Amino acid sequence: MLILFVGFALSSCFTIHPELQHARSIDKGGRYYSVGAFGGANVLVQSYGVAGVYSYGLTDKIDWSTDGSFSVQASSLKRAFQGFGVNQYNLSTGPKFSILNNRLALRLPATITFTADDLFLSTSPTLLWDVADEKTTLFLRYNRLYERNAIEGYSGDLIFGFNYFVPFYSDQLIISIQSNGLGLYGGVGLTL
Amino acid sequence: MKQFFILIIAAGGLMSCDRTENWTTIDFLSGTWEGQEITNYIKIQSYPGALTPHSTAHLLNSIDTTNNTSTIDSAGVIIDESNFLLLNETQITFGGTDQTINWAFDTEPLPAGLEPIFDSLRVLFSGEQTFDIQLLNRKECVLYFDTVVPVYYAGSLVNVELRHTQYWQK
Repeated sequence: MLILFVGFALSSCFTIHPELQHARSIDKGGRYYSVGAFGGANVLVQSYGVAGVYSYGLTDKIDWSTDGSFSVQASSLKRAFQGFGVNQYNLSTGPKFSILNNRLALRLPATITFTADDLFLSTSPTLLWDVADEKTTLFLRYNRLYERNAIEGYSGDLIFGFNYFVPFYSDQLIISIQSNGLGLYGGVGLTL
Repeated sequence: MKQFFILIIAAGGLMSCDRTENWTTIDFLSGTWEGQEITNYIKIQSYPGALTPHSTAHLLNSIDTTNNTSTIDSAGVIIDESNFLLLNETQITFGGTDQTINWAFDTEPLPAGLEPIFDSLRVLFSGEQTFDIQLLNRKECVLYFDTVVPVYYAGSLVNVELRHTQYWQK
């Protein structure tokens, strides 16, 4: 139990980036882009970053979805700019299957994370659920590390959150909040 | 009158010059430094590392380059004293004490279950530790070291990597 707790406490070190997309699939051959900035904090450190998503409609129900993020962890934004932070790069790519009349979707991406000279491979199954006439998307993401840790009991993070979509000229503004239970993170994005 | 003003400006300009062009590392080190922040990045095998920064704004570090001593003062109370040896222009070795980890490492936000790791780090900070001088000028000083500490944890030997950065200002 103690080891589990230790593992969970340190597990918060992966970036908690937003999803920035709906559960709804795009049409076959269609494209979807969104970009955003996010930030937040846990008990140890603050995080700031930018993220983007690109999806391509393989069929009417299956998209190929790729998202990337860059973030820096530091005690404050000022310290991050002074170079006292730790950078993290994250890239996920894989299919997204939309079901139940496009209200629910399951993403099954492979993820590469590079931080502080180390590379981590993981898979990030993500459940997306559109509610309130697609104005809100709830999501649940489990980032499971490919390699199990030497200290048993930790293999990944569970992240939950939501996106709220607001009409913004011809696009949509995305307000996103997410957490892993140890820290709270928020972001603002834009669909393009 | 015009010449007088030119003279005043010229004199002021000369007096404000840092005159540090011939300074060496030991000259820059000398004096009292105000703490800014210490970051400890702890990485346990296969984990993404945990960055644990803490403010050291309450600390003063008086570097006496005549006696090669470093005295740490917290709100008027001397909490640590150590000797140092400048190895070259970019490396310095501090002989730590039992007190060093108390200000160089903030254990408070981390779970008590990591105590075996802290015990190993305490030994590390108490001994001689060589720092890279990453930045040193008249106003700023950044000291850094990284090391791997084997820790006997939960029945197995685990490598714990520590990346330690101290940021001081004058």
